[in-house]
Amino acid sequence: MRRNYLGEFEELVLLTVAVLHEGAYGVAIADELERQTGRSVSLSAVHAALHRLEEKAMLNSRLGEATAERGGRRKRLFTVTALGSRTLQSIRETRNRLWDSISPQALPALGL
Amino acid sequence: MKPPPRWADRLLERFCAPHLLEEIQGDLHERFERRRVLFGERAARRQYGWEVLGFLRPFALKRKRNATSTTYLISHMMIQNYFKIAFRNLRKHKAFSFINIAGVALGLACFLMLALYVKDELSYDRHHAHADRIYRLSRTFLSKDGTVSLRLGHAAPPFGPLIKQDFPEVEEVVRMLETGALIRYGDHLFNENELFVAEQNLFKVFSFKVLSGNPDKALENPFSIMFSRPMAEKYFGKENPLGKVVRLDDQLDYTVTGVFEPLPAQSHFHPSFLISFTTLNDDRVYGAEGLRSNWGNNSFSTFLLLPEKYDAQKMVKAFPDFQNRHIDPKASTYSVLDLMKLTDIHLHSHLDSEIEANGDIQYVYLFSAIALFILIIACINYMNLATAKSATRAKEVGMRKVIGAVRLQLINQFLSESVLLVGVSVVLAVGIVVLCLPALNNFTQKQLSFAALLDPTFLAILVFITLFTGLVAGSYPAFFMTSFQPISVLKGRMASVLKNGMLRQTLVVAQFAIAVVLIISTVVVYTQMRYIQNYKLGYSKDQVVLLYASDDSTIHFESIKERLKANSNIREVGRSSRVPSGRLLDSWEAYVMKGDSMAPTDINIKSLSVDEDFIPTYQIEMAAGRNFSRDYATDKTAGFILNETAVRLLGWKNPADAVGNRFGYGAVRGQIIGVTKDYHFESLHQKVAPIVMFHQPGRMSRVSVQVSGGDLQQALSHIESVWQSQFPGRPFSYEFLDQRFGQLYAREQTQQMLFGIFAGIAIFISCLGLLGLSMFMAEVRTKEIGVRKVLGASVGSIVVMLSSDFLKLVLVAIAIASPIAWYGMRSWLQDFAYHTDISWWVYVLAGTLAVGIALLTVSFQSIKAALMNPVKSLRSE
Repeated sequence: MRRNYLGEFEELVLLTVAVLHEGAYGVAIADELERQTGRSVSLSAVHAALHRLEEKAMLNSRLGEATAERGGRRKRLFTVTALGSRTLQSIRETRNRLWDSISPQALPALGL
Repeated sequence: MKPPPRWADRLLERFCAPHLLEEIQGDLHERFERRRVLFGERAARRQYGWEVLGFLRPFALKRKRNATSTTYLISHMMIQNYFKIAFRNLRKHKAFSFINIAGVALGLACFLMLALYVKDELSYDRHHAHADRIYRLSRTFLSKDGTVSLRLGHAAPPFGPLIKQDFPEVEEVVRMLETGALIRYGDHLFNENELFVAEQNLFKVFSFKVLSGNPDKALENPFSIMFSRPMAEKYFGKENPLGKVVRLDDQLDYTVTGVFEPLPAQSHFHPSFLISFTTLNDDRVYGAEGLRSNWGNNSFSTFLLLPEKYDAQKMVKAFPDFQNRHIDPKASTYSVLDLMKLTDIHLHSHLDSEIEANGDIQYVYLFSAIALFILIIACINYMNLATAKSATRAKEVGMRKVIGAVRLQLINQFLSESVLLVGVSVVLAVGIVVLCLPALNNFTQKQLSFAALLDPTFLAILVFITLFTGLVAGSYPAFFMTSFQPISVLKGRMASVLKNGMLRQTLVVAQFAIAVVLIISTVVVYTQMRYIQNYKLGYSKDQVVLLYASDDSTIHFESIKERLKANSNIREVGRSSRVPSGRLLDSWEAYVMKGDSMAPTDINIKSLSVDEDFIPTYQIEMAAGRNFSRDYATDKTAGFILNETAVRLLGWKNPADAVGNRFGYGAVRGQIIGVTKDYHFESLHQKVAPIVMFHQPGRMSRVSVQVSGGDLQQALSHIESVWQSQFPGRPFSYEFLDQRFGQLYAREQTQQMLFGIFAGIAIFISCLGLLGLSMFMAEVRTKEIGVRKVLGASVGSIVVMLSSDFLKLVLVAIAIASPIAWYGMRSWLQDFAYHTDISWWVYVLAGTLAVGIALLTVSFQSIKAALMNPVKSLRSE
């Protein structure tokens, strides 16, 4: 089965949406990403990635509630679709398989 | 507490797609609030701006597609569709598109090049900061009968200071004297021409860029010289020129006091060197007394800087009194002063003396007219082809109307199509211009650069032309095609609509009329040039080498002549003050015997200083009497030779009657020893002037060497070796008389070529149009031709039938064009005192040419159509 291709950043965003579960929207995703990866993430990059993922049908979205700090504007909340979930799973399986195939001597030791 | 920056929000609201705005702006604001708490307001605001700019990405810019269609007249979807259809059409009819685009591109390229030229011509002398307040003083001399005898762009030296004295409101008066000299610096030795002796306030009037030296002081002290940058590099290389001493004419030393940037090409004068005016006070150079009182030496360019909003005409009205006050009480009867605006000089001044050859406003008009004509022809072409093509588009129009297109929408469609086509053509045209620019520069002696095309005003013009041409050329097809009734169109009743192509025929006639006018003009210019080349000038202009040697009493010309003539290739060597093909600018009044005493005749005669060998050198024929001779000592002091015109003007019936009479010229008194036949010393634009030739030591600086056939190269090297031994170290330079003669008619040569080129282009574009039309006609009449052939028509008769329609149009065009061309070219020929007439064969030639070319274009298509197998054309319905 030909799997939809995901970029590294897209993958991170998709995972973060899953992490945040019910409360996944632009700012929350950006903050969580910054916290997890330690690199600064711009809102526009997050939005662009969300937009692409939605086009690929890996995310669903609906409009949520408005808050005062948003100037009364509603947020768009995202949830992972079945396709998104399957894609993440298959990426993970691929990674695991690859890790399992690495012989212990192949990677330089990290001193552990 | 400040909100996020307004500009950023506004920007976001502008570019962001409406359906995304709410969430994006909400997120941005939320993050802003957080950052303000964490990092403070300033940092938060700055980061907000950056974040907003980060959203300039396709996903945020892209609008959501609307599922339902809008009914706006200009909706981007429809425009997209128009362009799509236009491109498909272009691709589908390749030959047609090619003809269309090539025609428009060629027309536009011509237009652009001419526009560049005209723009350049119009930009002369405008770079000076005070350009609109600078005026040039010019002086005109009148004969006793009130006719103009001489118009000079220069004036006598005393005028400048006197004007400043009598008209105190004048801000500055600057005088310049142009001269040439041999400049020596160390081993560098060159003959230089553009030396301007200029007053110190030159830089206050004209905006020179002084690169080194003090502009206020550089021209203060006598024997100061300033170099233009290229000249400084030529003489001093990398050395610092300031303070260096150069020697002029191997006599006087000048100190370099500055370097200036040369004036741009669009200037009517180009000094290479500037010399301080105070130098002229020195008696070895000119003398202070001469500057004060020499009213006869009109060789000083005099420029006035007038106050703002000053009426120059008021001053001109005061000039007659001014002259009477200072020169003599009757001065205003023979001398007139005038002012001309600096910016008018290049195009409007055609005086007998100018600093450099000027342009001509007539040229600018002519070029603008031709540029417009060609553009019109190209537009006509497009209109013609598009209307002709409308038959095939009629179904499309019908369909669109049925589906619900409003007429305005269809008009929009055809207009955007033609704008697209013109747009493609403009791109091509710009390419053509880039390729042709070097040739154009070579031809117009200008340095037009493509950079001028990128100038904002020019780009604006380009966009305007694109839209204008597109809209004008597209308007007729647009309105014509959209008027079709869908019912008749879709039923296939188009032929009746297209048959009455009255407008189309008018357009073809107009096109060919313009082309025929241009052909006739070309032929007339060509015959006139032939006429000039073959005109009997009365002297021999071939194989004459011209040299220059200042007529110094220390130079023994007799011995130089002997040495030159020792070579068998050199036939004769003569000296004179001016040489044929130049202008005759010196004139005095003639005196003849009346009763017992010499009386003035009120007749001004031009003078020429010659030695005994001038007349034999140029093989000028004598009508009566004899040439100057070394055997008569008095010839040198009191001998005059007149030409026939002078003799006639002075009242003698026969040349022989004049010989032997006493004669006075200016202050010299003597006797007429001979009369030459009239010869055309000046160009054929002028009538033969009355000329008197006599010996005037010190003035005969031009040396003419007649080489008699044989080996020209060997003769030249002989001349050079004699010259070098006589004037060691001086650069040897020479020119040929016939080259100078050619330069007299350089203007006409240029016109000849121009007319030729543009006639060619006009014909070419017209033919493209005709080709397209005949292609179309053959297509429309396929069935008719098939039926005719079935009924027994021969190929020949069908070709004749198809071609004769077009031939009729071309014949009408010739009939219209001939009188227009006749009128235009007759006035062109008036410029020459000696000119051919426009004979009947010119029209016949132009007509035959036009008909021939048209026939060739059309017959190709007609023959193709006539040869077609009727089975094929009649098979399908």
